[in-house]
Amino acid sequence: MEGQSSIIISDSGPMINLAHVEKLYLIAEISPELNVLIPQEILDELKDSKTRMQADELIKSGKMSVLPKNIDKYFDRILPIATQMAYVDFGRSQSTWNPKQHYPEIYVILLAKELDAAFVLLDEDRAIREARRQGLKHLRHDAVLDLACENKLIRPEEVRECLKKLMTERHVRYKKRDLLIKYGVVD
Amino acid sequence: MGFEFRTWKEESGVLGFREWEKGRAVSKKVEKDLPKIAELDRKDLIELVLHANKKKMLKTRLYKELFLLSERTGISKIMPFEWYPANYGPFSEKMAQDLEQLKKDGRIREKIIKNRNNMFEYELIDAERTEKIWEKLPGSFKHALVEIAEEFKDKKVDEISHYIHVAYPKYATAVKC
Repeated sequence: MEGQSSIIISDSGPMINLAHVEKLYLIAEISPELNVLIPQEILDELKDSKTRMQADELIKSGKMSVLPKNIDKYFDRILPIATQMAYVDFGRSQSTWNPKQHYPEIYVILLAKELDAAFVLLDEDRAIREARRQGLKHLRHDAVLDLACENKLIRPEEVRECLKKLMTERHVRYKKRDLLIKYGVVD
Repeated sequence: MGFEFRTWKEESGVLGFREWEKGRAVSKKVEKDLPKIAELDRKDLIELVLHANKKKMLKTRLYKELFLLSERTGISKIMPFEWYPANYGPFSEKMAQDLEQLKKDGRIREKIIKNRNNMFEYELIDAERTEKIWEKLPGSFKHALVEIAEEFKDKKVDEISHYIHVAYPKYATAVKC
C-alpha cells in the first residue's frame, strides 16, 4: 500500500527555481506531514548564494534534513540510466555526450525509491519520466507554488509574480497553459 | 502512443499529491476500525463496493474502485489483494478468483453488455445480505466507500483508469509511462 510514507526528496532544479522567487521555504510547508530530505551531493550543487542561504535556513530550522554522501554506492545503477538519457540528448542534438550531467537526478530518484519516499521533487521532464518508471510520484516547483496557494500560504497574485519571474529571468517554460490561465499570467 | 499527461495538475504532480493527502486522511480515520473490518473477507468487500454503486458495475470500474479503496483505507494490510501493474491498470488475481467464486455461489450475476464493446457487468444478487453487512460497518469505512463511489460516479472508466495511472505510478505499466 502507498500513502504511508511521508518522505519527500529534492533534486537541485526545483530548489533553485523556488529559491529564485524566495519561496524555497514552501517545500516544508505544503504539508505538515512531509519530511523534506536532501542528499549532501545535491546540497553541494547549490552554488548560488541565494539558493544556498534559503536551503541553509531550512536545515537550521530543522525543516529539512541532509542525507550523508552516498552516491558511490549507487553508481552501478546510475550509469546505465544516465547513459540512456545521454543517448536521447545526443540523438536530439541538444547537447554533447555527457551522461554525467544526469547523475544527480538519477541518484535522487534511486534514493527516493530505496527510502520508499512519498514524493521526489524534480523539474526535468526526462527525470520525471524516469521517476514514474521507477514507480515514484513526483512534484515540480510549480506544483509547490500552487499547493501553497491552495493551502492559503501565499496569495494568487504572488504565484502570478513568481511564474512571470521564472519565465522571464530563468526562462522556465510551462507547456500546459492551464496553470498560466489559472493565475492570470495569460488570458 | 505512450502515456501522456492531460492537464497541468497531472503533469506538475498536484493530482498525485492530492490523492496522497486523501489516502493519509482516510487511512487515519479507518485505522482504529481495521480489526472490525478484518472480520469481513475479500468477497464481502467486492459486494460492498457493488452495494455502494447501486448494486451494479462494469468490471473495470469495480476493479478500479476496489483498488482505490484498498489504497486509501489501508485495508491491504489485513486483506491482501496483491495488486500488480497490468495493461489496464492495477490488477489482482485474488480479486479475479473471488469474482469467479461469487458467481459460482450465486452471489453476483455477470452480464455482457453488447452495445458497450462486450464489457462485463456485475450485479449484486443477494442485496439483503450485503445490506446487513453494510449496517454493521464502521462509519469511517462506510464513508470511504461512499466517497469513492460519489467521486467517480460521473467519470468514464477511461478517466478513472487515467486518474489511477497518474496518481499511482507504481501500478502503471512501463509501456504506458
